[in-house]
Amino acid sequence: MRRIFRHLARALADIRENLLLHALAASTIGIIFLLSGTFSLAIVNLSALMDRWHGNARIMVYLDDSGPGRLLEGNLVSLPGVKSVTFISKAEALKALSGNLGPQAGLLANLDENPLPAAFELSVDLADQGPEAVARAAEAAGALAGVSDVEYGRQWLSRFTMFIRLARVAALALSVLFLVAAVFITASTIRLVLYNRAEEISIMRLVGATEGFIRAPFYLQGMIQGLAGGLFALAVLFSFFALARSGISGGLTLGGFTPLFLPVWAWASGLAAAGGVGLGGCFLTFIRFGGR
Amino acid sequence: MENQRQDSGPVIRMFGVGKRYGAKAALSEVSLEIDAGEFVFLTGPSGAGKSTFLKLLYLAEPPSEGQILLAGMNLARMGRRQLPRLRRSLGVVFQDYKLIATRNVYENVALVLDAAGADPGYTKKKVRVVLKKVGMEDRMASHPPALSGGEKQRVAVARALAGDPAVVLADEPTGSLDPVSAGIIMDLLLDFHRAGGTVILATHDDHLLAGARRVLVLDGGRLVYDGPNDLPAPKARRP
Ligand SMILES: Nc1ncnc2c1ncn2[C@@H]1O[C@H](COP(=O)(O)OP(=O)(O)OP(=O)(O)O)[C@@H](O)[C@H]1O
Ligand SMILES: [Mg+2]
Repeated sequence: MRRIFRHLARALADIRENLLLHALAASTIGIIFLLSGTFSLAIVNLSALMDRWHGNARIMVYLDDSGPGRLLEGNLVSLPGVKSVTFISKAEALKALSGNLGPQAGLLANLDENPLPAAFELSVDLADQGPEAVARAAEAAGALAGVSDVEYGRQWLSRFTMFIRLARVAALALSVLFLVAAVFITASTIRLVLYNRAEEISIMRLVGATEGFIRAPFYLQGMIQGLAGGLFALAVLFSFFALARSGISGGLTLGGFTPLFLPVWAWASGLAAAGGVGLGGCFLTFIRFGGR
Repeated sequence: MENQRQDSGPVIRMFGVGKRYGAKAALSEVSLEIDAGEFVFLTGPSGAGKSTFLKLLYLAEPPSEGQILLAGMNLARMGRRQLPRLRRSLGVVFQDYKLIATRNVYENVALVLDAAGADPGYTKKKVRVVLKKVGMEDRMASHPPALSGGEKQRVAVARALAGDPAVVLADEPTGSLDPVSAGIIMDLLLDFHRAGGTVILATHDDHLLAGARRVLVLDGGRLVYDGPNDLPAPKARRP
């Protein structure tokens, strides 16, 4: 335990001595993690938004005038995922339309026949099923005899889903790339420090210091540098987030949607990754340049 | 730290040891044994191979040929993991001091004990004791660049003795010192020797050699004499 403190003191002294170098490396790592964090935050919120819309997914099922009409209710209710079914008769549809038209509703008065079909409005429970459930339910409804047309935000929904999926993959790939870049950045700073310390290290070896004893402060430096970068990224990300959230609650509205910050496990593992980057960079340096 | 001294028997054995730097043979065909508890002088003109001889012993470099056994261990067959431990059983005074410029006097000496995993309280006490012995206790906070050659040399001696080694290898440990300071350092090494330690001391200084029981003379990398110094003492100061 005392040893760790001693190594820590050594590491901090080293950092103080090369403050600019470490600060530069830490902020580069910070920016890298900030980018990854921003992506993740965007994805978390888009997914949450999509889940809300999914939760309200609606399907309109239009009926043939000559079909069984209202009798289809039983078939529709039993479709998988369907939560509730509301019948809208031709007359109700016309009334709703004229209500929507307002002053122009007079146009409809000239019609001798009601052109609007009767319809069912299905609300689909998507809490634990994807947007595919909407498509499946809509398809099944469309296959029923007496149904003329089915309408739902099919394309929009599936495009959005695709987009989020793609964004997730892209963010993951980018994060891995960024992580590798951060490891190399750490490696090059540690290499510089190591280079400055070459004589000191050779003296330590000559007086019998073990490699562990010699390297421990460097590993700590790498870890501190990475953690500093990670904390910096987290602080900036959270400030931006808090700013954006107060902007939203202060005027902008997203249909009552409250933006979410990254879950604890996500930012905690981000921090751990930042520390790990420091250790990894150090390890890489010693593998490549650490020989005697 | 635990005492790693042996009471008797050879602590160092060399068989046909040579060292080449490119085409230049710095040391050739050296064979000898040094018993635990001996005080051995190593002398010869500049460039004779004295420092090279010591470098091979403190494992700074491997020999080009021959075998070296340290405390019965063959250095050629030793794994890298055993190296630090073996080095810690040696106290070395380097000809060029090899003090760490960015650490102060106290830290330079404490390094040996820290590296050996000594208790911090013990380290604190021990470092003060050895620095006091070499007369540097009031310079503990100074950094090596601010010290004179003689002061650096005294810190180097303190560091070599701090870890209670079994063997001290000293390369011109009095080379930069006035006669009084040199006498103090020699007395320290003699104390160490009297307490059972083995000393190998490289020097050009004939004063130090007077009356020595064993002197190794190197010339052009060869061991040309190994025996007592029979010449009469030029002055009184000697072991
Ligand atoms: N690293 C090296 N590379 C090339 N030649 C070397 C090296 N080290 C020593 N030599 C040569 O080996 C020979 C022996 O050197 P060494 O330092 O052992 O002499 P020395 O007896 O200690 O001399 P001095 O009394 O001047 O310290 C010298 O000719 C020197 O030039
Ligand atoms: Mg020499």
